[in-house]
Amino acid sequence: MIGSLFLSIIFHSFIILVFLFGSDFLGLKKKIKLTDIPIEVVEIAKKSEAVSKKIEKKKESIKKKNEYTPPKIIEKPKPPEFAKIEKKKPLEKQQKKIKKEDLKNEKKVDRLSSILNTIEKIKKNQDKEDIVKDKTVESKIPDFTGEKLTISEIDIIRRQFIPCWTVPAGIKDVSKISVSVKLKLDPDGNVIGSKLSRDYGSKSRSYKSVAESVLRAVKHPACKKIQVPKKKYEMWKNITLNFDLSDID
Amino acid sequence: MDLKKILIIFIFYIFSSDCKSEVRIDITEGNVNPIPIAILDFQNNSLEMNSLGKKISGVIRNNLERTGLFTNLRKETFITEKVNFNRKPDFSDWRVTTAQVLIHGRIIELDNKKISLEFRLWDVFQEKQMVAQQLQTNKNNWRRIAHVISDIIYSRITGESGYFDTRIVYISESGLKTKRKKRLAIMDQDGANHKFLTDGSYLALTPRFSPASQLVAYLSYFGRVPRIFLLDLETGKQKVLGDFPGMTFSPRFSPNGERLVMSLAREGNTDLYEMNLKSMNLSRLTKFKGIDTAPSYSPDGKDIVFESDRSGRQQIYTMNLKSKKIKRISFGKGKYATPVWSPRGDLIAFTKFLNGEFYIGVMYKDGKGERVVYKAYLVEGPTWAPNGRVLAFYSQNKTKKNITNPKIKVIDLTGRNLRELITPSDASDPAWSGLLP
Repeated sequence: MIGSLFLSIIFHSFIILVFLFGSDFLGLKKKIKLTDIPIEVVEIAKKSEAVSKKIEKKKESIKKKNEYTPPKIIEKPKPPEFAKIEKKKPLEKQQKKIKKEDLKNEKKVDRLSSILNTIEKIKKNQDKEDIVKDKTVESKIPDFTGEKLTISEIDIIRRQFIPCWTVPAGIKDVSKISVSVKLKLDPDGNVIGSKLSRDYGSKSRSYKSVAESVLRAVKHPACKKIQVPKKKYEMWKNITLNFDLSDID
Repeated sequence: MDLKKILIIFIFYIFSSDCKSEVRIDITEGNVNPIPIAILDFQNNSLEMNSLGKKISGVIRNNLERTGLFTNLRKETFITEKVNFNRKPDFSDWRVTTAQVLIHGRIIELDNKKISLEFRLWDVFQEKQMVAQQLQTNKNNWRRIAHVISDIIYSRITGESGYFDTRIVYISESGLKTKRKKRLAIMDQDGANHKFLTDGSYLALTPRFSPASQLVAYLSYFGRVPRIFLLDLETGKQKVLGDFPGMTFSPRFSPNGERLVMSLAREGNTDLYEMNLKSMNLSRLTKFKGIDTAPSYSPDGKDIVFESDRSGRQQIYTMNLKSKKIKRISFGKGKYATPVWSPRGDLIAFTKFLNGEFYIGVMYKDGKGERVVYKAYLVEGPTWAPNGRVLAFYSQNKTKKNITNPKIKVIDLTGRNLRELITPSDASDPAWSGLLP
């Protein structure tokens, strides 16, 4: 009796603990996050901010114009010194040198190797510059990796399939038919697999006809490669397209 | 123990539901362009058979093109015009042409009279064979076999039964308006094999095809008395069903061809009657002071649709033949007339007169979803193709100078694909047969 009471207390307290602290462990919070839609709102806000800034800038310029202040003469910015040294001159010099070397039948091997070394250095420097540039550009674009696709991104994907699907209009009960097809895409957006969500073996002839038109659509050459936000591959590597004819009469 | 199980199931559900969070996109629109198809000429080594093969594939091309659902690709766009019948085609060659469907075949002469046709239908994008069939017939029956092949292709791609191996009877009109000659005539659905069935010595009107056989009923005024004739197209024999004073439309056959439904003016009132063709017994269906007319059976033969002015204006009603329960289904503006139940059962075609114009429309059997498919100065006599997807009717247009002569037109349910049937003279009152046996 005491034993069972003791067991009951343990189990009840365990359930309470699960409800209190288990949400993190069980991923409940994550689930709540999934139902959130404010991603779009944030984006729109950002866009509107950008627009408002532009408008403000324009307003400022208009104010300045109204003040009849003569426009300032802006000096041409000087090219950065490192660019002079590291980019243009060495390249030109090296190229000229390479040409000269060719003409001299490549007798001076030591010099040539030094030139090659400097070219490699230049290339490395350029690569570094590119990486730095990429990083600065990437840092400006918000990193959406791992987040949901936005409505506009989904719409872009959706619109690509519209011209590929020839609607089998006029068939019986057309408005009652919807066909789902699962697509598998590679990281470049190529459709590498397609499968109907439900087999049409036991379905009506109308359903079969629609299902076949859907399969033709997803295998249409124009829909072989889909334009997708490549960073969000995890989000769109598996897509389910639901071809719905309820609005088509 | 149970709690542990529940907990495991609970955890599994959460994780599995998390993994399932793949993108789902609804596509509610597409293009309505016809499907590009490549039809190759049916091949044979002999010149005679080769030209026959060309004729057959030509008829198939025309049939499919007329539906408005397919567009034939020009031969000039083909990379090759010959495909080995026993091998899989090189689909990359056909994808380049934008063809979604490829049809090729061969014709073989069995003896002096018979030919055999083998054909394959391929889904180019899916690289899948859809149909492979062999058919045999007499040489002089080549048009019919072309229609049968067209039906097979159409049916396989659209999921609906075809309507190419069918015929249309109609009233051929000629002569002055005051002395109009109206003859019963018949032709294939594409206008070929045209012939007259009556000589024009008496007026023939509103022919109706029996869906189950090659019987045609038509109304004829003999000595100013409306008389119904039953013509057997196989034997060419016809018999008089009886004199029916006050009759304006021919009776319509039940789906099994055993009964006729008609409107008769008796004792100063027009009501609906049903006649059993075996016993020739006539039974009254409606008893109302207004005019009930133009009845048509549902495909299961259990209901009829008809027009009536019992509400004060011509409207469409349905009636269950067992319970005799009548239900009004049209409520729009204008006068509704000549309803015809679709052979596939879902729709009812009708004519409507509104603001000085005639309309051909369709509505669901409960009266919902009414939409117009064609309008003109005068449109009359809708008749369904046996697959219930295409309508034929006749129409006249009003120009600045005059009113055009009546012509038969064919339109699909979408209302986008309108074609005129070429007939030797003016044409009215078409009636579409079922698929030929």
